[in-house]
Amino acid sequence: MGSAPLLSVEDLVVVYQTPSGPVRAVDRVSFVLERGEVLGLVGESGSGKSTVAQALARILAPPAMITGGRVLFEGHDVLAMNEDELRRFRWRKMSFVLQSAMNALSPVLTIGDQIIDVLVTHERTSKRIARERAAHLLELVGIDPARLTSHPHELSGGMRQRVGIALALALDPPLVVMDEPTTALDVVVQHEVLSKIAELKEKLGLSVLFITHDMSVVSQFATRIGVLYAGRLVEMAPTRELFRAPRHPYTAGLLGSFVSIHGPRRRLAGIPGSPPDLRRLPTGCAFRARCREAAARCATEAPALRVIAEDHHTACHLVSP
Amino acid sequence: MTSTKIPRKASAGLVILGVFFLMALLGPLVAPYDPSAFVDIPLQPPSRAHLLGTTGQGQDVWSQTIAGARTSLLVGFVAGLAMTTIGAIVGAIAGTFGGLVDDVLSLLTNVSLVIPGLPLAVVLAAYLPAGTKALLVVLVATGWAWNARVIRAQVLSLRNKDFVAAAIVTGESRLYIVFREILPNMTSVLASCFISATVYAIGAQVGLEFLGLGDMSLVTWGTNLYWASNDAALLTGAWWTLVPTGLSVALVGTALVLVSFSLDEITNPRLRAVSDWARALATRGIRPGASTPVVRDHG
Amino acid sequence: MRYLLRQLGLYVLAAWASLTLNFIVPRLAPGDPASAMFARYKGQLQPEALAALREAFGFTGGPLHEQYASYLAHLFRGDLGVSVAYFPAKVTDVLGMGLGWTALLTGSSVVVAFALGSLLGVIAAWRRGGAFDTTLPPLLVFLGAFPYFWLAMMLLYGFGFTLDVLPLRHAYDDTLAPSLSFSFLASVAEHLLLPATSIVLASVGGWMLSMRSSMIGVLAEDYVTMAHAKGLSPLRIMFHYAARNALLPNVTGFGMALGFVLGGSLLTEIVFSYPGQGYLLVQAVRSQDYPLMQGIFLTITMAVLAANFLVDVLYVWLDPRTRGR
Repeated sequence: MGSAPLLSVEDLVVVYQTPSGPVRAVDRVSFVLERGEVLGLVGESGSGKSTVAQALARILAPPAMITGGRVLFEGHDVLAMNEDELRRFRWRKMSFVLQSAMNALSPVLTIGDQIIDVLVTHERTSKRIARERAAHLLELVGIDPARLTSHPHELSGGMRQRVGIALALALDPPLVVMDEPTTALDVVVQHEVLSKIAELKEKLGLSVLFITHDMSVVSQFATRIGVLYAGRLVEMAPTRELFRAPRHPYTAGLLGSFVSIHGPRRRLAGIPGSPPDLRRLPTGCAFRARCREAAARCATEAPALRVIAEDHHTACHLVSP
Repeated sequence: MTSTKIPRKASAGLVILGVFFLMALLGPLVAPYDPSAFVDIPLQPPSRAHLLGTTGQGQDVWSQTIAGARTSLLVGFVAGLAMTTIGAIVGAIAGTFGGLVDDVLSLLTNVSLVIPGLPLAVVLAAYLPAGTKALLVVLVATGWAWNARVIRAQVLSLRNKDFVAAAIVTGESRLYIVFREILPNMTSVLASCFISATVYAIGAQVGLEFLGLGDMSLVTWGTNLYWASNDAALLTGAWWTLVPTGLSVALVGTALVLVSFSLDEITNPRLRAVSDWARALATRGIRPGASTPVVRDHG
Repeated sequence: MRYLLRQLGLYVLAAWASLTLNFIVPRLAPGDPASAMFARYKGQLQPEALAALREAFGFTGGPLHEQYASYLAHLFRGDLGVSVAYFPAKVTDVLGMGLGWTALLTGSSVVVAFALGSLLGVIAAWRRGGAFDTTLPPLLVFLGAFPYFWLAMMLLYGFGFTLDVLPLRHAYDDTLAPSLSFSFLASVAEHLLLPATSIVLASVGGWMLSMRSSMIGVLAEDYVTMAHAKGLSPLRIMFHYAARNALLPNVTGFGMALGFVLGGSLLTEIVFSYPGQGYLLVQAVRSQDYPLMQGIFLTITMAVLAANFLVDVLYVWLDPRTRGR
């Protein structure tokens, strides 16, 4: 088992039931996350990045269903686990820091209760010991342990997000999934939370799946970055390589500059148009309506993710290795 | 245009309502007897001559049920309409104008919500001259506030929508905005308010008449139950004097609620998506559990 | 605490509004119901007693504000006049007989219906789209669409009359004297069972539906997703995380619905000749006993307002966010 990567996702497909029929929110997404690595998953809202994250632990709420693929964690397929196995797997192996600090904690329970119940459920410790550990966890993220008896609304946004991080570390899991952990925060607090995450990652040797819409945030941490568009992975490369030489026009757009295959670089403010409606995806490449370089082939044939350089994958007809 | 099929619940509700409407409309043509006339020996169980038996006053129960539908539905729907109109006006004005106007109207709404309806209705009905008009006044006076509250909340959420904001910016008058921009855009809320108001009105009307308030010489579902109870229907075992009317009230109420459920599903598509999801899983023999289901056969 | 003070203000205002309505309605009514009302006492009351009664209702012949002042003054002294139906008992004494029984019947059935309905709503939302969720709500809606008193009559007919297993009327066995003995309390419970059941049957569906929809909203919240991610047991997620939060809007609705359920429960009392306010109400209506009717309206309104305030206190306890404000 030692040779298996920490997490390996193969051809994951997630479908949402909608009033107008089933919709593929995640379409054959594959990636590997090695031990100690920070993998960034980037995309606009609706790109399926949060859906991927929650599908990994199978905590997507109805009307979602996983209709294909494998999620191998340390070699075990999460999609084949029964409820008991899943409960033991969750948080102990993979914990979450969710986007909105406000809503990720139940407003009617104290933060102490919400940390302690994880410890009591998974480690069967006594309440007293769990309380001590919870106090220690708060100290770890720089919060006064007296705050254990506070309710979420009594804390600032930044404090709540640090509580979320403390909670994620409670069972010392090998993988922490961070889904937009700093989005709702102002810039100063954002920076403070990010440096806390960086510090803890070094100290505890965590592996992190970092999900965001913000390239600049992810560039500070991630060793590799995957870019999602309309539920599909369109590019994946080591961070440096991706920033130096983005090959997919969408990635280039996200980075704020557009790399023309035929001409010199020119500045471009964002990407024209808006993400496609997943219920009515165009034929061929989902990005072609917003792509300045789209060719005839893009309308007929969906590009597959292929290797274009060492450890660099892109799904675009216009890119040649 | 994609064909939007009417949900099963709504069609069931509409069919039931249709039957009762026909009954109310064609009443005198369908009813075999004069509903208030003494036609046979009192308290006879259902028979071929009297499909639903006779009352303690020797009237035909089937004819009385049909005649009751006419008055009770009429009062119910008129009162429901009035309550929705008043609720819409008060709620929309409170929600659109905001500030002091909203404070005063909201306070009025909340005060009238916390005062229990039936005892107030009894006092009102006791002092007003017995009759259908007084009954309508009593029903509307005790039932308008809930609609006002619901509609105000809906208006507040609509106020932030673009088209309303645009109207405010272009300097349209507030009243114009209320009646031309806001109310037309909340037809489904108004419809479900109308439905719940009508359900309330029919129930409250039956209750007041059962108490002996109102015009006892009329034949309505409420007076039917009043007289049945007065004639000690239960102690004589004459269940047939109670069951048809009670069942009619419940069927109309249920039908209205079913229609309102479907309205809910149409305005809140997520509800329907989840039922579709559960059905899709069920066809594959999967019971929805606590975790995201894995369905392999799907393309 | 600002929240509680604001609510208290609302109830004080509502109390004043109902007192004033009580004063205005008889004066707005066409004809002269007041004279008719006093005429009923002719020959029964001494002229001085009749004059006192007129004063209690403010029918002093003076200007309206003086009438109002006289009415309020008597009201705050607890003088609600003399009952016609229970002549010569004072209205306050008559009301006193019924208040406890109404509180017992309505209180117990409302609490049971709320708890049961909320529980069913939690389960239905948790297994939404499942067999339980698709069959029970329409069934309970159907039950709830019957008039309360009609269900009461059917239960009375079935269990009391045909099967003869439960008592038909009154709040306790006539042969017993009220005491704290076991046999008396058992008799009270036995007499409570049928009327309470009919109220519960009629109102449980409403609570279930509102809890179900509130729960469906809460289940989409991030903290429920988090609770799943934490690997907690389904029961713990369902009750500790989801239902605790979904209950809050339902508790707010509880106060509003109380007045409505109370109306149905008053009518249920009549069916079972249960000696509460509802039974008094029908006596009052039958003998056109206006002072008693108005007395019932006032006491019930005050009781509902007080219950609403208790619910608000409960709400503050349940929702920590209201405490600071």
